Amino acid sequence: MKTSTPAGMSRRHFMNHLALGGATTLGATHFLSTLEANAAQVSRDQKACILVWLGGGAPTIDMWDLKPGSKNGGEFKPISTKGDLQISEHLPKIAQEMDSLSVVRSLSTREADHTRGRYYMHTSYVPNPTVVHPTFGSVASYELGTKRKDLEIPSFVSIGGGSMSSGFLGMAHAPFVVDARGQIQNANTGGMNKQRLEQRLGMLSTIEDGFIKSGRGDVGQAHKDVYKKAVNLMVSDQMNAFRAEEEPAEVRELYGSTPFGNTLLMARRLVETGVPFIEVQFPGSWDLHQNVFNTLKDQRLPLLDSGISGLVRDLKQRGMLEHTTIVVMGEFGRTPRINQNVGRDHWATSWSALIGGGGLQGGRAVGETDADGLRIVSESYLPGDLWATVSHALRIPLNTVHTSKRGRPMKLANGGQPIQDLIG
Amino acid sequence: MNSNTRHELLNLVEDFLEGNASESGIARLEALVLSDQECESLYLEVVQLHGNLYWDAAGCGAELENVFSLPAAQSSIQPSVNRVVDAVSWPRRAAALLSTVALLVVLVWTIQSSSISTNSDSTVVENTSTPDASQHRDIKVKQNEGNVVEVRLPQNEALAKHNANEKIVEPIVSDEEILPFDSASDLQVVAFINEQIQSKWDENSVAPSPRATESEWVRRIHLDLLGRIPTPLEVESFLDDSDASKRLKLLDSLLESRGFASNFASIWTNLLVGRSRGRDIDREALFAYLKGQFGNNMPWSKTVTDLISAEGSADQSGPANFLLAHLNNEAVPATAITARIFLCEQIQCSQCHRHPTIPDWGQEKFWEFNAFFQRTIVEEKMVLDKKTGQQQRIRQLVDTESPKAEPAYYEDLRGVMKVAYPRFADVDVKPLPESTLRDQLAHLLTTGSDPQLAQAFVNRSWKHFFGHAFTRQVDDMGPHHEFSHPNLVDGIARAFVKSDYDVRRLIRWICLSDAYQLTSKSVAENKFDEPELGDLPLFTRMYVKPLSPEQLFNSLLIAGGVSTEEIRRRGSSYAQREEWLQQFFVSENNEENGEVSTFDGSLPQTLMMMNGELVKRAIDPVQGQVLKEIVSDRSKSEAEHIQDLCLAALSRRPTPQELEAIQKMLRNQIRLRTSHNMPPQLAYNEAFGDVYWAYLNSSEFSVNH
Repeated sequence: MKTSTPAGMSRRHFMNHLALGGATTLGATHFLSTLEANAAQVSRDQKACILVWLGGGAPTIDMWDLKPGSKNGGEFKPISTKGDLQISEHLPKIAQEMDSLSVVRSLSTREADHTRGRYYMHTSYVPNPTVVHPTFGSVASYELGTKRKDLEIPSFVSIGGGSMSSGFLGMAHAPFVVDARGQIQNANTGGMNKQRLEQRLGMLSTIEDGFIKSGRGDVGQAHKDVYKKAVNLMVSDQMNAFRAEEEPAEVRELYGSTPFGNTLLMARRLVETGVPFIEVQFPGSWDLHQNVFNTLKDQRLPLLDSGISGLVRDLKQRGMLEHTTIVVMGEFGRTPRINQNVGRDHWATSWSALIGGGGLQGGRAVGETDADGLRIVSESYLPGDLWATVSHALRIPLNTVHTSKRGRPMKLANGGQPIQDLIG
Repeated sequence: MNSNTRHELLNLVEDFLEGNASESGIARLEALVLSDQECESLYLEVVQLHGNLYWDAAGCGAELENVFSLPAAQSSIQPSVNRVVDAVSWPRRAAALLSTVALLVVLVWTIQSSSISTNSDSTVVENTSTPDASQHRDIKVKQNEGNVVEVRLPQNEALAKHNANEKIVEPIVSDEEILPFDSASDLQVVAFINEQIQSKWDENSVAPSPRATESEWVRRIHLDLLGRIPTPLEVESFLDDSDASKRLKLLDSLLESRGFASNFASIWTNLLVGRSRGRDIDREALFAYLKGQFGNNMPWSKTVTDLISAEGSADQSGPANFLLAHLNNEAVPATAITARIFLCEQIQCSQCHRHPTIPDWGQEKFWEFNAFFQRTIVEEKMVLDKKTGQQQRIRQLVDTESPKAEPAYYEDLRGVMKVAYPRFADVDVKPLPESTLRDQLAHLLTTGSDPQLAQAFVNRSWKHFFGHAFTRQVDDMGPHHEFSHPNLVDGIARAFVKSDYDVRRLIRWICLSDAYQLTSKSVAENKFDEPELGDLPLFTRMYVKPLSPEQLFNSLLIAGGVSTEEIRRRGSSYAQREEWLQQFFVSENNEENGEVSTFDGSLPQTLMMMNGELVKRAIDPVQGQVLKEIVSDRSKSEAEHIQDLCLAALSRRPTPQELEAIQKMLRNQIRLRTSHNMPPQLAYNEAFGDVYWAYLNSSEFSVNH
């Protein structure tokens, strides 16, 4: 199978090739030359961020900030890594890439309810009934996506489930949600010619204008904007980025050949296409109120380990890691104390996130918790600080201010400041 | 205080509290607060909430009452049911808070500031007011001397002006108090609603939009009650009816229809157990049960009782499926969802921390509620299916027999294990041989003249019909949220209770109100009534409501000519709908049984409308019955065909300009097709299919307005 669309090839031409050459495999030399071609396509200033979302709230005390010797320490041992820190013994492959990644160990985020925590960690703002804040992916889409004129597909993609709302930045920056296989329902026009589609849209526009002028709020205008995006998407060759299955087997193996690995691979392809923000939902819940150690050891951690390490290695090989920031976190951490069901409950007071790439410092542990993991004994960080760090990596000016529908100015990342140890 | 002032004030306060206020901002804030008592109250409320939230975030929430020695907080220890807070205590409490908040602002600012140093030149403020707390937690807040922010607060003379006799919280009215209207008379209840809505209009100097046209209204009432657009026939017969009371007539006939029962059963099935599959329950049994309840107009209190106290297996006992879906994870979801759905309360937050301002909303409130579910377990049995001859796994709800009350165990904020026994609304409950804990919970929820259950149902129903509830979020009627129309909610809820929770009568009151008759177009006098932007709604017009996935699906079937009978019976198209829905809903990755939807007007929904099977079928000149019938009616002109298509999709006739523009484009398209040697009849039909496509893809189609 081909790895990507070589430049200058039309979609139809490409599809024909696929149909004819589906069974052929590529030799190693061919594979490498395609790699180089791809890397060349990524323009140097196209920054991107991949957020890997650990839904349910991951027990970061068992992953990134182990507490050997404490009653809260649990069953796992720390191991050394290529960076200047230790992580869990069940993440050996990531340990080999830790020179490129850092751990922020002193997040203190106060929201320990799933819905509120999800909102806070995505937007940097606590929920407020009078305004819907945009998730950071929508901010990146708004700031970067609109400037990438060649990008025909949505500039914020969420793979394997929903992200959060684009809030006052509008429907045009809402996450484009695709399933883990990258299948996009109803994107095919069924062979309708362009002329007919245009005629339909012409009539639609006539009907819409009447409704937009009728004084019923901005529903009509938002509707119009989304239709424009949908048409772009239906006719674009860039949709090919969603087809992770077209990657050679060697590359898929690098990511663990799992459905989760494939979603990360898809994310890389989207970065190559110019999409500035991709959120990947980890498949499976981290809400481990029970049986935390067995579930981590046997299921969650091996999957995460192969996927994330594969992503880092692949990006590095392609020279893309310098431009691509990776963030791995969920809505909160989990209680240092182990409960009566050998589980850990919700905990937002002191927990960790993994961050790297994008020119940020790797191999560091930023911030510190006490021997039992209960308190932060260094400077603590808020989600706004994390996103400000990502903004720095994405070259979004920190003094950017967005305006809510009510005309209220909202600071980028809620006024958070980049974490000095990571950007220094 | 009008809405603009309110916003200005809130923004200023927030800037001030976040340490970002400019000098002129502070001056303006001071002027505002001193100018008006309402502003002053709002200011105090926000400052207090803010202070407490930060206090709580710093980990000190558990000792709130000890720290401040609040009179109100102490009442939580006394077994008192009196919710009255006398204003006398208020200035004192506020003054204490103001000074504390001022300090906190400094502290928080310092904590957040990245320039903080942990070395010895900073002063250390240690929390010593609660000795036992400092043993458990090591709270040290460091403060840089050089960094103290000067905080200027509007001072105490403002507080002194506060009328000492004013009640901050409305007193509980006794059961005997008579309503200001006769709830037995629907007319009087509706007049009461109109009067209350009107008085808010007057208060805010806004004027309502005009009455909706008949076609706007007929589409609205069908979508709201039956969950689908009306058929062309239904629209025409309503438009042709010259009876002055035709809205009332239609409302009553729809309320009696089986489509209503089916639609409300579908809405409540989704609320109770969600839309995504994967929970091991019998959704159909739950739906069938709810359909019976709405179809027979059973009192809402009775339905809630069934849902909370049901026993038995998933397939045999419809209502049991509610708890069968949510008893996982120590019944935490069952607790949170029962409170959210039936009481419109978000008590799951108090699972982990104390409410910042309301003393009796602590962790124990959550776990005492949770304790009602602790004696109920889910049992699995293997049963022989007679039809297939296969062993089948059946889940059922069973209450354990142990005479000893099984408490809920939880960890408090200090990490100490605690127990909670079943307790609701200050009543402790013990299991009895003849009634389970859940029976008794249901009883507690449904008794009295003003239970929250009734208010919650009124709030939710109002949101269903107007697109906005009386609170900013329908599910959050918690103590810190204001109601847009407190007297109105209270009045309707009491009338609802007096009617013995008569669901249809409640709907009748709402749909007969003047506000429900209004158009969704705004006028200059009500432009700023924008609840979308976070204001409390004034109901000066009908707010535009996006169609739910079910409404959209059913409406597309109607547009494609599928019979209303088929839709209501949930025949073959139902299975199709269930499958169709799954593309828009994913379960959340957590133990709280939530789900995420992509049915929000973004790309997946748009692509479905542009290219999906449903629309494709509706606009196909052979398969789409409505289109086929319209274009094959030779007695009608081309223009009439366009009018009929518009009516079928949008329940209205096109405007003259619209008609002219569409007709022009249509002719071009027919010409283009015939010039490519397409037979004229086919060209005509296909071009009309495209007109229908445009109508179905319009934003007007995808909303209820």
